[in-house]
Amino acid sequence: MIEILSYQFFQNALLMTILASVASGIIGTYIVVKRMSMITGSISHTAFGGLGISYFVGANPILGALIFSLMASLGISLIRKNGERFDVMLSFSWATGMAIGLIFMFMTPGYATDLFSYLFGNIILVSTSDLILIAVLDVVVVLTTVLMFNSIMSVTFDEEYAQIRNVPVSMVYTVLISLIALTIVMLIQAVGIVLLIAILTMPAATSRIFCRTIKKMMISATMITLFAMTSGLFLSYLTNLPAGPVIVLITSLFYIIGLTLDKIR
Amino acid sequence: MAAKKSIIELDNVSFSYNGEELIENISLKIYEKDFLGVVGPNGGGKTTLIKLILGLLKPASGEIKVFGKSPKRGRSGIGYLSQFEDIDFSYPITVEQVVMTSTLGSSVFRWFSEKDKAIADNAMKKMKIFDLKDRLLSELSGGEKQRVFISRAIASKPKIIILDEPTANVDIKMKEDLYRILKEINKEIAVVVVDHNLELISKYAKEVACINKCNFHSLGYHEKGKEKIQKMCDLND
Repeated sequence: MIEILSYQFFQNALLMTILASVASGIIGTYIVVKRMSMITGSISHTAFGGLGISYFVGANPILGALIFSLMASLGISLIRKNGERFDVMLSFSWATGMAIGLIFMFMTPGYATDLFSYLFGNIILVSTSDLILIAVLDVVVVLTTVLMFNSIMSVTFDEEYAQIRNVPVSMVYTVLISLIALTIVMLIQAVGIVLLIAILTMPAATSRIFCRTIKKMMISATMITLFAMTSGLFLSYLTNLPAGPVIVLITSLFYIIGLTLDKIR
Repeated sequence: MAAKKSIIELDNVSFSYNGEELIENISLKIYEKDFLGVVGPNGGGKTTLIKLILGLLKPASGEIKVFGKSPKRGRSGIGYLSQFEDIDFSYPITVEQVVMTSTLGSSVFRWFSEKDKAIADNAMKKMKIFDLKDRLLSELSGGEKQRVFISRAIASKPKIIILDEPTANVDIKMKEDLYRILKEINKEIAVVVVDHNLELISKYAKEVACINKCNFHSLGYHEKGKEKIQKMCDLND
């Protein structure tokens, strides 16, 4: 068990879990409080379009995912107020991104194993250059939320009032949704496009049951995510099962326990 | 009578939504230290009127001036209480945080200063909810919540406060309390309150306006009284 810690790939994976937990604990809290899981699902699947194209042309797939997810978050922010069209936009972006990604991957020889790891994650494959990119994204996400904490709170709590107080509501929302996009990109490598929604919702939703304020929710969600990801990593090593689904199931278990404790107290 | 200074002016304002005329040719002036009660049937355009004044909606025709400027530029001088249904009460936020959001302005990277804290403290003390400041909004009663939102409105240091159906979700005792609070506030600033409660409106408001789509009347100080309002507005209470 201990010898695994001496391998570079495992150290990278551990470092990755720490970085990803902080961003997803913070952003997951907003996703849960503002009920934005559909937005999250849509952006993450759109990211696959960029990922596929980069994969096809031989560029860094994470960069392609980053561009596509930011484009999706911009589109979503722009028509956020237009109820019916907004809902359709989420599905449009979701499916179109997936379709583009699949076609480009299909056109690249030897895509099968990589396809699987982008969809369901392969945290063991995190390279040092990926880690650097992820660390940069982490700093951006954390710093922006810290600096904009009050304006994000004001806008997400009561948008109309914020508007009257002349807080730039659309700008704050666009930033928040872009931060969701950045966090998604960080998580693709760890748990994959299909499963990352669990990391962004389950720990925060579990924390919501026990925490009174946004800040406490963020800290608690970060801790749960960190625990789920590291224990999932070790568990997958011991059982030889893929890490992504194991991590996700641990977060689901946390949520079920949370709900049960909430019922009986 | 000395000439009073008007702070909000509507000149022949119309507004329609999805082809339906919600407000037609309304002209209205609100003066400093007015206490205006706005009554009218549901769907008569009361909330629309407020949203036009706040610059949340744009009139199809006519002109609105808030402190002599466009609503968007002048609205920072308005303290506002929306209807309860527009608020997400499950949001994990403390009383103090709610009140402090009023001190934020157009700068997105702003942290709360000691001065902001003092302004919020002051507003909460005025509304007698200072001891609730660390409580969660979701834990409060209807009346307490209403005091939180009035605190938030006064923390913006407004020259006028506009309230949209503030008595809709509070008990009978609190309804009267609320109007007493408004009367206190009215010593310094103007108050506009939209309400169904004709009893309280006729007791506390200095003037009453009735709005029902294209119909708009206003009654002065001496004419008000529940029956008069009812008759004027065609309301069956």
